[in-house]
Amino acid sequence: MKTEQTTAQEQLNLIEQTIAQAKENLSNHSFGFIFWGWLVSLTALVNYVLLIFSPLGNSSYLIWPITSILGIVFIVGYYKKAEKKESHRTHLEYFLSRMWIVIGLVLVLFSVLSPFIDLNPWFFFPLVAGIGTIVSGVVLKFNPLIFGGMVLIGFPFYSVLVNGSSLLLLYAAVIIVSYLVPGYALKRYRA
Amino acid sequence: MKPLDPLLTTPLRLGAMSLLIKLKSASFVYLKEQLNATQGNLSVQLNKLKDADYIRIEKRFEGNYPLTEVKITPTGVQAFEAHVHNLKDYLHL
Repeated sequence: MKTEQTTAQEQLNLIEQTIAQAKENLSNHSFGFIFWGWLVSLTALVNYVLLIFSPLGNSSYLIWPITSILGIVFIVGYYKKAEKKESHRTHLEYFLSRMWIVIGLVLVLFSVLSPFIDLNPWFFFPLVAGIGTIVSGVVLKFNPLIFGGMVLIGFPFYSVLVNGSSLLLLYAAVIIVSYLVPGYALKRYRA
Repeated sequence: MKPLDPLLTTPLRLGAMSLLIKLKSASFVYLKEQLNATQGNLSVQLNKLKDADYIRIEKRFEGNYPLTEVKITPTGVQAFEAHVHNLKDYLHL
């Protein structure tokens, strides 16, 4: 790139071109949705199988804290490693990473306090995760995520139509619609 | 009509500021690739922006490798916005 003076019009053109060149790479945001999508939907399915076909009964719900802790450890390690390699970071990437850290901490805090407070996890988890998903969809201007977030937020309401262990199957399906499908669409997205 | 900021009228410095306005941070290598600049020239131009407090340059080690990270400052954001405004005035846009 040249270092000599340029005309006002050339300068405006340069600003426009350079800003367009640095536009958001949406596929960078897909990993978290794909990872949690697989982890949560598989956990729900395994929980269902254990509940129906094993003698574990309600103890099978312990699979949730186990997979969540493993998931958190893996994702923190993954993003720390990715952060070291990254050559640049957009304001959006920074905002979204901070928002999901806060949401993650709220969900961990809720998990720790849940034995002591009377709050239904089938209400709280999808609601908080759904808000994060909608905000991500809005700032990335990516409609499948907005739709996915709405499906997740609606879960506490339409899930009253389902009884007992079938709730786990419904939750797995909802996570596929709200995380996995938009996650893979985001990964393949080319602006 | 206000005069144009002489620090921002050269393409390389203006290009660097245009990229940094959109980014929270960028490595020196990323800027060099995006702006198609040579290491020496980019280094000289970035230092001029740094001396004017338009950008901040931080050097650190990532493992065994040195990493130079560049960020725009609030003064730089203000200067860039004022420059764009002046350019539009100048062109009667």
